[in-house]
Amino acid sequence: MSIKRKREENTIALLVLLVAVLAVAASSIFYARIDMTQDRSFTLSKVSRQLHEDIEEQVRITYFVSDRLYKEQSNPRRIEDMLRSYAALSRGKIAVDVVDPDKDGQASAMAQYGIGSQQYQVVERNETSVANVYTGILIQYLDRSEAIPVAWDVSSLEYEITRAILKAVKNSSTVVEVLVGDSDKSWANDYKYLSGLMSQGGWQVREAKAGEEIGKDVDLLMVLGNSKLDDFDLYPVDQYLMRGGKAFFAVKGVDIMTNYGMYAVPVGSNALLDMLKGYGADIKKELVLDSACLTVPFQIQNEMGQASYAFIRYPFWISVNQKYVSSESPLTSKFGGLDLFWPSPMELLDVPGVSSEMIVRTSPKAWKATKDFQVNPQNEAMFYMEMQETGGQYGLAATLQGKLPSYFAGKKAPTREGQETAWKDPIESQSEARIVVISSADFVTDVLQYSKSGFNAEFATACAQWLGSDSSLLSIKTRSYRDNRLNKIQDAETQNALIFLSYAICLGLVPLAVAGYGVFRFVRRRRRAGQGMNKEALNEVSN
Amino acid sequence: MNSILPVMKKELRSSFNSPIAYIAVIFFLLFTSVWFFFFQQFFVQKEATLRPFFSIMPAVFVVLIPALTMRSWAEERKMGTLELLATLPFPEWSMVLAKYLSSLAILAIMLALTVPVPLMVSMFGRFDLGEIVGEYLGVLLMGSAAIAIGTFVSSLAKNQISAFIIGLLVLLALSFCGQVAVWINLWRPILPIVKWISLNEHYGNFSRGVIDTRDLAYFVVMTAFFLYFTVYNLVSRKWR
Repeated sequence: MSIKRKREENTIALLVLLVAVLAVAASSIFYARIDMTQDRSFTLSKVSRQLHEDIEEQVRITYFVSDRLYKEQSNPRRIEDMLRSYAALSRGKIAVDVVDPDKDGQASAMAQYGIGSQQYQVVERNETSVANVYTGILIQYLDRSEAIPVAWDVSSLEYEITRAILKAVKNSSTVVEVLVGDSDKSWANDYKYLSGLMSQGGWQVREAKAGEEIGKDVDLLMVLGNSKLDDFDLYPVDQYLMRGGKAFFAVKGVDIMTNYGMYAVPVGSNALLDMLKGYGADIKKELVLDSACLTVPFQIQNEMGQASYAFIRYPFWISVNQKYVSSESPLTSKFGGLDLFWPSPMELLDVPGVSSEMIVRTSPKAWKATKDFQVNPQNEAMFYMEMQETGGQYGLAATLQGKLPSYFAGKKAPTREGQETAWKDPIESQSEARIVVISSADFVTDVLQYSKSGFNAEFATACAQWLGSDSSLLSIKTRSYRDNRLNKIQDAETQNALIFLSYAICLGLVPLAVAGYGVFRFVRRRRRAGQGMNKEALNEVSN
Repeated sequence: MNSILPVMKKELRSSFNSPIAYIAVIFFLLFTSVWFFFFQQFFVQKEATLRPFFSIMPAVFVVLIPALTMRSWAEERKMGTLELLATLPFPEWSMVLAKYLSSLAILAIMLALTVPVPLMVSMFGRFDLGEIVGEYLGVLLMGSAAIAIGTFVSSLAKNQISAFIIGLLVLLALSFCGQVAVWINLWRPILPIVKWISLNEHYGNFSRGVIDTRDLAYFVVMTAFFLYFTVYNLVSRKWR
């Protein structure tokens, strides 16, 4: 082998090394990302890609991230990727900077935008300590700014960024008033999860007082519960809708007193249910049960008074399947999951000038409880009493749009003793209103944390989004919370059988098949080798 | 191609005539399934994702890939057939490619045999098919790069045992160097470089269902790089 050849090979080797380095460098400059996930969780949606159409001057986005966090975790790189995608698609209308606030001495300046440090656990050699790091986004447009104080979860970040950009550019935010209609609940104590989610989403939320005028700046009214609201309380709600307002109603037909041994009683004469019936949504004073339901732990007491936990399939807590939601409504076209607690059946009525759509239904294997409501988990056998005669599919949530007929049409404005407020005479519908009605008052209370039904609050905010503000944001919103629980099979026996089958196939059948194939090949080779030896022996003899 | 296929077929036949291949496949199938169903408690966690199943692959490959590749060149050297191969009218690159492809084929068969896992668990919840496809692709690419590394180590080693041990250590270092560098608080300027070298770091996007061409380029460059230097190593032996 000549020295010349050796030199040639060495040169080629160096060139290969150089090409490898260049290839790597080029790939980091010119790159593409193909998002294969079903929800396209890592691809910007259309509304984000078209943001530049709403922007006249340049939007400046600064991602404040501590150097340490950037180098030690992969999320900051993904966040930067996402922000650079915004810039790349904005035709120069969005500029992005990534800044280490510790190096650039901007920590104190960031505080005024609400971006503070977060505690981050560090393992160095054999010691664990806590470091303060930053990962916040500041969006500035002209003299306005919006901040995302903690940017971490990439799957839902696009919604926050696009909403913040639109808010900064359009200089508007959605004002929501919340009216709690159950006497045993309050916004501060029983809706913490929903409240937190709405604050994070940049909504301006304030609590409405029953019987007071709805503010003229209110973009959306949420009425949660209905047991304590009378005509006087509902008059401003009705008139708000007559002016073209948007409202979300979470109501019930049967009151469940969880503090009184799970005693259940129909709500009786209820003004809100009558009002909604007038609009076209008839919520029955019954309970609907479904075989597609949650399995929940309940504390039970035995005869000795000892407490223990039992896992019970509880058909009053319905787990809504994607198959039974509307595929056309923007609220449910990308359904992420919904669990309804003690819902009542709902029917839609024909009301002139109002278009309605049932967007959520039970499965076809649902039934009702119409009397003698037995909801205590200890009375499990009683749940199925009316199953035979009431089996079927029932409506649970609906949207209604149009010029709603006033509940107080032809009546005088209601009065209340001792109340100074005197309502003006009722007006008829002046503009098209839009409402969402859900026949479960408890589905967005903090009970949702007990059953890990966080997507309930997501669904409520998706409804609020559709009702109150930019409906184009909905396409981003609904994909951030996919129901990825293992809840396709509800029947426990079927589930156990299939689990066993999975084990049998994956741990038994497939490895055995591989071993069997090996044995088969071995035996076949031995046989062929034996036949070959016999032929040789025969040839020898014949020679 | 004429020279690659016969060698590849011979390698595959030789592998499947040996009980070691079957033991490796069965070990792989059992270990990953037990890990997924019992250690990760899939049916208790009740989440429709296969990430726990694929999360163990980098660690499994550290042991499995050297076992697959240890014979490829070290055995030839020990048996004295390496010099014989050098006299054959096949270029070195075709022989290297043939052995690499046969190991890759075995890995692909192993991964194909794991398909019953996603098929069975898909009955229980809504899995993201894109994520699963990304995970399989990522595992195959990572395995491809690891096989190239194992093949290179085998071309340097004197016997199978040393090929296996050195291959295991090299893969261990290359797979987890990124994480270790973070734990030991490595000097900041070189931390990104060390993380970039790590096989595990580039596997991350695939496991989420995202194909990033930077990660794709990394695996392709690593594979080509180590295969090239295997060829270089074999050719340079002629000069001695």
